[in-house]
Order: sequence, then C-alpha cells, then structure tokens
Amino acid sequence: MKLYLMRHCESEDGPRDDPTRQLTSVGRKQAQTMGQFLVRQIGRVDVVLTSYFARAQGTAAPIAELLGCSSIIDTPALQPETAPKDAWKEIKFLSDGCEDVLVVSHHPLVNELLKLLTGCDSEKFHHGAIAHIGDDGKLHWFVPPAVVERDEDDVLEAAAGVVEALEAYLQEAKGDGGLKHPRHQAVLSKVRAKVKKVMAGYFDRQGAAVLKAVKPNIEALLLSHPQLKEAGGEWVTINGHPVLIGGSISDRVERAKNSAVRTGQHEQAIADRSEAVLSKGVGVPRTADNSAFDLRNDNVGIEVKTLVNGKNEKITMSKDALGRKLAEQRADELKAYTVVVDRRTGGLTGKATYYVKEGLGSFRLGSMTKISLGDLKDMVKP
Amino acid sequence: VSIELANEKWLGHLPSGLLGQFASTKGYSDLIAAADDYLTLREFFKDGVTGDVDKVRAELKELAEEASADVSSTAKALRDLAEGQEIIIITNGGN
Repeated sequence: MKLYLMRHCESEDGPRDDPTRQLTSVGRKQAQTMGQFLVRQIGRVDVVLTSYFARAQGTAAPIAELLGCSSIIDTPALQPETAPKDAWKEIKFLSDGCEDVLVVSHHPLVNELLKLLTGCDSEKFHHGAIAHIGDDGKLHWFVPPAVVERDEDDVLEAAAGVVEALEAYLQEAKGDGGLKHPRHQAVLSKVRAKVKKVMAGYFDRQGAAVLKAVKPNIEALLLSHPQLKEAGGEWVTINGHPVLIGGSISDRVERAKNSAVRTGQHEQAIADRSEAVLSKGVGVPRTADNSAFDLRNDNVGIEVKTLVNGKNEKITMSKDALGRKLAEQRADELKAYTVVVDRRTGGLTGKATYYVKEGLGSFRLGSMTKISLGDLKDMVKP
Repeated sequence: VSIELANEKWLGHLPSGLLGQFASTKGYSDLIAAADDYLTLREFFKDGVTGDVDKVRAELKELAEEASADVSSTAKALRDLAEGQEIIIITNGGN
C-alpha cells in the first residue's frame, strides 16, 4: 500500500479537540493546491480516510473530488489524540486491498504516524503538508504547500515559455523553413533551458524540503537507504550539518584518527595522571578497575572528565555509564559529583582548570561551577 | 573518567554513537599495560581508533583468558561492546 499522509489545511484558531473548526480561506486554497499537486503526482487514490472534524473533512472533500475518488470514509481513529498504533490498525482495516490511500488527519497524530511507520520525526508537519510513504515503509517525499505553491509559479513560467515557442513555431511554419529554421531553433533552445532550470529548481526544493522535514532523524532515514548501506557510508551530524562518512575502512579510520574525539594512549596518560592529582588534592581515593565512579569513599562518588583536546565545551555520558553510576549511588547512598579537569591549554604540566556540578550526566561547561582544588576539597568533605 | 567505546557517529558528537562504558580511567590504563604483547590491541590503544575490529576482539579474548580478574572483566566488556562494529573509537566523553 502506498500511503499519502496529510495534515489538514490551515484552519480557524481554537482548541485542538473542537471538531467544528473550519478551514480558513488560505486553508481552502491550500486544499486546492495540494489536490492539484496530487493529481499531477499520482493521478488517483483508491480511498480517502479522514477524521470527522470539519477541518479534516474540508481538506479531504475537495482533494477527493479532484482525484475523482468517491470513496471517503471518516473515522474517529484519525482524531488528533489517537494513539498512532490504533490509528494505523484502523487505516489498514479500512483500506484493505487498496493500493493508494490518502489519509487526512491532525497534529500530533500525523507526526506520530510518520515516526511509527518510517522512523522519521518531522518537527514541521505544516498545515496541508503531505508525506508519501511507499509500500517499502520508507518516506519517499514530504511536501508542504509552500513548496508546491512556488512550483506552481515556476510551472506557469515554463508554460509561458512553451506558448512562446509554439507561437514562434506557428509564425515560422508559415514560411518555408518550418521547424528547421535557425530562428525557431534559437527559441526552442531557450525554452528547453528554461524548462530544465525549472525542473532542477523543483527537485532541489523537494530535496531541501525533505531534508528539513526529517532533520531530527535524518541519520536513521539515510542509513536505511540500501545504496548508502552498500557503499558502506554513514551519516553523522557535525556542527549541526549531516555529513556522509564513507569510503574504505582505512580512509574512515584515518578520518577518525584525525578527529578530536578519540582517547588514545597519549590522552589517556594525561587523564590518568590528572585524575591521580585530583584524587590527592581532594582526598578521595581512586577506585578499582571498571568501577562506576573514578574517585569515591563511603560518602561521595566523583565522576572525573579530563579535557585534553578538542573544542567541544561539553562532556557526554552515555545512558549505560549514567545508569551504572546512578545504581551505585543509590545502593551506597552516595553524594555524586561530576568534575571536569580542563587541561587543553597546558597539558599535564600546565595549570588545570576545574569545574564541578553536583549530580551526574552530560553537561556543558557553562552550566558548571569553576572551582579551585582547595574549594573542591571542602565541597566533597562529609 | 568513564572510558567508553564509540562508533563513527561519535565523530559528530551524536550520543547514539556512544556504545557504552567499558572501564574507569584506571581500568583503561591497566588494560593498556596488560596488552603490550598484543600487536593489534597495542596499535588500537595507541591511536584510540581501529578498523581491525575482528582482530581486536580475538586478541581481547586471548587477553581475558590470561589476565587478572579486573583486567579480564574490562577486556570482556570492551569485546562485547565492539561486536558488530566496523570502526571503533575509545573516548572519555570529554573530547
């Protein structure tokens, strides 16, 4: 089944559970625009499913008409607060045997359904936006009205160019040269270039809209792409931008070696010595191998993070590591601290800067308190 | 410091790139010292990065069989976390 999941078009303000809210004039226009877009894209659907809320029905009805679909079914399972699993069960039941299904529903259900079915988490499921989920369970495209409206303008522009070419052809056809006349060819070349530009712009915007819509889970989406998997590529977010990590294993290892996120023997030696200095300075002994805390006594457990390189002003603790520490803290009734030793400027021999925060987790340095070793010692005293 | 194992996602500081903790700072230092006779492990610990995951796991298995109980437990934890990964990175989460 190919699913076209749509959020109703713009509606009057009001409570989410008010079923009487109508579409605004903008919303009615959006329904026409998106309906025409679907006519061009897919031509038909077998069934249109909608909630019984006026704003969903006001969206579904004109689109169904444009698509020539007389089968419109309303169901309470497409109301805003329905659990996505229940809604999906109902969609499958109502569209049994159908190939192309348009579902018109509401926020937050549309977002939750998209996430349930594809793993993509779109923050911007705008009014009137449509997500096409293929029968392979993947998001094929995601288009809000704003993109379609821009494309309408471009299509009109291209159409004007075609008309211009036809007029030129008719003029030229009257003469002996016909289609082979150089002037006619010149006009056609310009039109071809214009159509090409419009098409390129269209696909660029489609791509940009999809990327923006699925940004929170872009990694999951792209990693699931079979060609990307075959190429051994992976997407990561670096400074907020998705970046493809691909190529041979040796290239990827080199890339990782050149990054600042690894803790090799050099970094480890500095962290190890630094922790020993801290342990002595605050009077809390280091723990045995593989213990949850780095320093601890009967009263306190201290997680130490030594910054050796990199520009990231943040320390990160995985859920697994945090869980182990919290379990030990609860079992032994410890007071827990996170201490950062910043040795990025002076290495092991230079002066360290200490930061502390009561509790455990991933913190930005800006949220921690800068502290001297002496004050830290007083702080962790029982 | 919690010494954790990560994959390439960690290059972009994605928390899902952190696979889990396998040692404290001291535990990692002890593991490095115990691995001196294992060529692939030695290189891995020197760089903090490797793409020879199968070899690393095989050497960790050998090391775990002959090392002290503490080091053995650290080696086993690291070996388990590395399973199924193509490239592994050691991090203290503070980079």
